Amino acid sequence: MPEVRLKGVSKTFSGNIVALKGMDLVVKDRDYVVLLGPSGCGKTTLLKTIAGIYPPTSGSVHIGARNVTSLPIEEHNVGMMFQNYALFPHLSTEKNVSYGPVIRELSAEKTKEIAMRMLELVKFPSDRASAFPSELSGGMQQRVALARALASQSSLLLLDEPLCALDAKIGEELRLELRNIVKTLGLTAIHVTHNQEEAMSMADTIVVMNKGQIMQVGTPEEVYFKPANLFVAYFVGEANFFECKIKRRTAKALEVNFLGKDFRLSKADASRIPDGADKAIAVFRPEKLVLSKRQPYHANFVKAKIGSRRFLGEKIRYELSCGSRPIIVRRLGFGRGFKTGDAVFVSFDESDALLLNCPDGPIEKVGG
Amino acid sequence: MNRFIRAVSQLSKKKWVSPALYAAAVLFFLFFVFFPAVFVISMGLRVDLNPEVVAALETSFGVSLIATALSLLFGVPMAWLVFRSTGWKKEILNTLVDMPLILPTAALGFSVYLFWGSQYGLALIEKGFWMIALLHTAFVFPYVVRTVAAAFEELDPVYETASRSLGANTLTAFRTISLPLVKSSAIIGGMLAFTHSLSETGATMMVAGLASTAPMQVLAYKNAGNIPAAASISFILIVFAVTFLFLAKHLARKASISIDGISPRLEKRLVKFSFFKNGTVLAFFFILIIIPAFFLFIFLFQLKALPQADQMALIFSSLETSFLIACAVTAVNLFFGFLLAMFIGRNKWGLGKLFESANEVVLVVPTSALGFSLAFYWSGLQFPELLVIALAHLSFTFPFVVTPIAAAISALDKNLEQAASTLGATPFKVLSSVTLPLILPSVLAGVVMGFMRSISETGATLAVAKSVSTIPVLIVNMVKANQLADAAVACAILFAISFVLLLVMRRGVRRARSAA
Repeated sequence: MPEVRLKGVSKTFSGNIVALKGMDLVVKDRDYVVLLGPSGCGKTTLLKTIAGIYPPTSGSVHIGARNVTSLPIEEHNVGMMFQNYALFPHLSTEKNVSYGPVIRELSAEKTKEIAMRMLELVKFPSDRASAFPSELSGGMQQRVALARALASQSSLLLLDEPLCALDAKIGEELRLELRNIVKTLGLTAIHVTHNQEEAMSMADTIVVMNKGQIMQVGTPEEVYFKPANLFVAYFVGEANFFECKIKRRTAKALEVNFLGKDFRLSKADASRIPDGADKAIAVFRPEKLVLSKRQPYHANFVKAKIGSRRFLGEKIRYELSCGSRPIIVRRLGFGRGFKTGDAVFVSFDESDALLLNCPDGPIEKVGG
Repeated sequence: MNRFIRAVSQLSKKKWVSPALYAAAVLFFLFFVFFPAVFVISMGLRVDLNPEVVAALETSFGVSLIATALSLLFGVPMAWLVFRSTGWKKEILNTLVDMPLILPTAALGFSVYLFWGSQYGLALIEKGFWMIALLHTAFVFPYVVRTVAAAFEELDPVYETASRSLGANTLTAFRTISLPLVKSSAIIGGMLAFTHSLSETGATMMVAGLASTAPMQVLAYKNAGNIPAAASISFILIVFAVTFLFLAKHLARKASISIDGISPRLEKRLVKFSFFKNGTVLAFFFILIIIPAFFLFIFLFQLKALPQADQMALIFSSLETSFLIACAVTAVNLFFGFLLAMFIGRNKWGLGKLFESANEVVLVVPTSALGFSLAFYWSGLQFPELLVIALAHLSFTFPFVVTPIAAAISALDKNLEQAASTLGATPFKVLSSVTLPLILPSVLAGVVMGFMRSISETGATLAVAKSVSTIPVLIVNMVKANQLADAAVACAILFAISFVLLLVMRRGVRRARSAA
């Protein structure tokens, strides 16, 4: 039922701060959607607009068949989990969770039953139900906040940075649990985070945002391997960016020059480069680059030197010196690997190269 | 000067300096503030409850209950209104709420009498119980509004948003979330209102007519030489005020408001009447508080002539006395009060809480009882009258200086001071370059509050003074002698001075804030 549709939603705060610029978005029923972006990109504003906390300056918000644009918060009928949880400090855990049912004037038995069921669902120990929020650990508070949002019985769950107040370790554990609960109950979830790992591991669909606009909507794989633009490539995961000159573009292949060498790419994805462009950015994920002592049999390589290596457990991260910017390569950590100072060949598979439109100005600026 | 500062700075590094200063502050507080204020309790008198005493106590408690109940009933919605309004509306409401606070109570009492009782105003109510109740409502109302509005301002709005996202309408969210969260402040505001009402003397004397309140009775018995009766009323007043203080603090911690049995559907219908509710609250505020409090000025503009020269001279000499006392007392209190505030705020020697409570006890002790008690405390040492008045003022204004400073110090992030120390600052340098600039707004607030309290107080002054008269005492006497025009001019001068002081404080606080 709750398909969420945003049509041309803009939000301007006092002082002409533009938080959202004409946003169109459809969130499908039962989809787990993550809004991902740097702080200040408007993702929380978007979530709060859906919840009715901020009425949009223009455009409309639809939840299911209802146009909720001008309805007050209480009639949006969403389950919302707030950043830092906003648990009512004067109410016990159980009263916090039963607040929604009490407000909707359900019977006392029904209220109690829902509260207990939700606390059980989020694995909150039932003997602690009378504890006040201040007596609970961060992880427990997170569970109570989730139970309270679920107890609203809404099938649309809005999550504002639900895991960011927790220790990294506990946060990671709770990711899977949170997703499982959403899937078990068949809810539609919209989850805001700035943590791209969290987004990757939880989302069905990721919405990458920057400066109040949507940069890309796609599955985690699409966003990672097929970023729509330089910002997405920069923000999601690590990547190598090489500025290249386009020498010739034919239907079959693209001839480019980067790192002081000519390459003829026939399988690289060049669909994002406009016709007639003379520059482009070639993007490679660090794990897609191959290192070898011996010269590869194909032509897609450059020579480089190992500048530094860092052991990351299952992988080793190398920084290679070659040209003006270091090249980052991540390889599985077994075997002897390479030492600092080793001369190596860096090679790539043509189909792993992604060519993106070159922005005006230096590419470092894109990430900001 | 530089050499002096450097010497102080070096001295502050010595281990014994700060314990010595704290000890001095504690001793000062105990022997000049606390013991004098409650000395009467130690006199071990049998409590003499003659019918006159009982009647006075009944009047006092009746008036305090009515004033507190009305202030809470209208003050909490008023605080909400102030909190919720924005822009120029908020500025105006804020200033209006503060206005009766800066009007010295003697002037307020006179104004209330003029409005309700005299032929210049409505002439609706006789002097007596109900006029006392109206007066007390007018001067305690701001205490409740201020305390509760401050609590609303501090409240994180996310709780109410969360409540509404769970389906609560604005009224239900207010009743189940915001109101319970400011409950402790409302209780404390109510307690302050109650104890201030119990304590007020000078203004009450103007409107009491044939009725008499407990503090008035203390003065009457004392003047008539009936010391046991005066002592027993003082004793009862102090015990009750202190009991209320601790009861309120206990309730503020404990009592909770349940979310059961609420009816959101009914409240949703009530939301539509919010215009009506706001109208009622504002009507109450203007008719019972603002207009009576400032009717004085309407009367003033109808005056044909200024007071006689001898009366003017009397006004100015009283003003001089008042300012002399207030300045001296504030200077002494600032020094020791700052040290004691550090002592309380830092919880030195684990005694912070104890002295915080002792400080609050002095804050709630009715001033005429305090004055009576203090007169006995110092009676062995034949001090000149002016000095005894100053000592009385020292005692009851001290908590006003300490409370805001102590609160600011305990809220201060200790890391900032530690950071300064790790950078090599001496304790004195830390204090002057980090601590003091950060808490300056609170220090200013404490100084001005203490000063204004000293300027406008009557109860304790009357309890210890024989011939010296401060400006509010003069006003009371003028009204009693039916010299209404003279009283009005004196009130106006006093108000003008208080008003300027408040403006100076606000500017100072604002500047100190923006500098910090």
